[in-house]
Amino acid sequence: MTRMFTKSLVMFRNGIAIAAMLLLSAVALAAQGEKPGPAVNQNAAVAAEFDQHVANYMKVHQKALTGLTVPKNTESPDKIAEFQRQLAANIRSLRSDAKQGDIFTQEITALFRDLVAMAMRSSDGPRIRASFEHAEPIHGIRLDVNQAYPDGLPLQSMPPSLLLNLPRLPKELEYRFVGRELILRDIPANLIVDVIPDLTEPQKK
Amino acid sequence: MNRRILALVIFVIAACGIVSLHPPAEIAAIFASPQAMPVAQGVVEVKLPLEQKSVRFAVIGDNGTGDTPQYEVAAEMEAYRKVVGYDFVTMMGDNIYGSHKPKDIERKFETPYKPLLDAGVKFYACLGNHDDSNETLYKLFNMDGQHYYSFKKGDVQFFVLDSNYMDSKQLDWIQNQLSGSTAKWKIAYFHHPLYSDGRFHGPDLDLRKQLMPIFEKYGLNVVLSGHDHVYERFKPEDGIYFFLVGNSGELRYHNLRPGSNIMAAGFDTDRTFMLVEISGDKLYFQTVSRTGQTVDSGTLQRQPKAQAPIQAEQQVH
Repeated sequence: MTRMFTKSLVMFRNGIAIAAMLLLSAVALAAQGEKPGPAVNQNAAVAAEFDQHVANYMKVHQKALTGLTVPKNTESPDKIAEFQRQLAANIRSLRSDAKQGDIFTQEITALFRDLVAMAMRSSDGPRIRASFEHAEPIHGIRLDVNQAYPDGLPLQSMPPSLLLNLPRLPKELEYRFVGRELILRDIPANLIVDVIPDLTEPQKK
Repeated sequence: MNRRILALVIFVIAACGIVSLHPPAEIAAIFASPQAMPVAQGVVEVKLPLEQKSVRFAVIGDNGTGDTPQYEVAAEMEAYRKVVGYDFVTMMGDNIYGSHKPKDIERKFETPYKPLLDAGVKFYACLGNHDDSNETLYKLFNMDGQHYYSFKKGDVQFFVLDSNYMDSKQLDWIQNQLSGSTAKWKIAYFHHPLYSDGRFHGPDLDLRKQLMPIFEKYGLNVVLSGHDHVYERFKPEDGIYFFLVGNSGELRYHNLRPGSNIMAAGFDTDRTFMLVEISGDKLYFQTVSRTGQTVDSGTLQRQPKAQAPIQAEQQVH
């Protein structure tokens, strides 16, 4: 019984991001006085496009792993550092022409802006803002595609209520904020995959 | 001649400035070599009952500075290990500050804790905001390549979370793990505190909103965290015991908010580590400072389901 309840909760949570997108579309369309069908499909199509870009990136990631052994449970920090360096070099080589906006296209960026804005306007908004302010926000740094996330720079924690509003990612990728930028980071390679600049509102001083 | 006098005056003023701004531990950190292995300063005075077949462990957080105070705390930990006989350490994150080059791992982890590692003590780490995600691959952190994981010791099951990135996958995972756990004691630990009187960070309210309903529903007993560079023990919140140990290397001097109504005990004038012993329905704890002083100790009764009264001494330092 408990397991069934838990499974239901899991399914419910999985549906939150999709429901958020659908709700966003419905609200936008209602404001425009249109029928909800096509624009809901439009947002779903943009979300599907994002998933496809991520899947394509993961093929590159997998290819870059060819010939490398993940040094799981090693006592040698050197081996970990070398694995990270080699994986990043392989990905850079395979994506040498990658540029900002390849994954976060204009349409996908617009969707992310809406999803983040919606989370900020919701009842979770004040908690999300407080979480940002308490998370040692990073300022004055601009990161580019194919750049390594700087060694020694803390990773700003992601407010959970905001994460729940964004599309899921494979375990090798994560969203992070660097100041007001949202980056897509390859975790094992410590590499910037794409960037959305100025995604959040400026912080009050 | 005048220049010499002027230089001497400037030097004296600068030295006085350092002395007045920093307590002794910081001065030691500035002038001493971090590689020098300090010796435990205090007398080992164990307040745990050391019962047979009990689960004993140490708790550290925000430790990986590589500076002298971290080494001094490590020396106290080793002195207490010899008497208490704990065989594992839970790490609340920020295991390695700053650069993560191989030499940093050595200076900020392997060297200070060498006596413990040599004695077979295992470290179970969680990730803080200053940690590199690839620390999960490092064998001595026992994370098995995972950002969040669980392990058991006797009657106790530990749930180690990555509070930097609490996404739906991780929330599903902790819910499933807790609902399926039959352990007598369930302890979760992660970097960002759900409750804190630290003025620098304070509690992560968004994280609390996501985690507390799960913790309450599945009968979690204890939560350990770090991030704010102080020690704090809280009055039970919704029947759960909370501790914050974020000063095993770093320290934010006098950073605890005064007049808190959630604090049971606090310490923000030096570094600490905590010792825990669990035996039957009782959890005994003792928090020890960098200089070997016991700054907090007490006994907690396992919660049947509803909130149990705390039996620890009430102290604020």
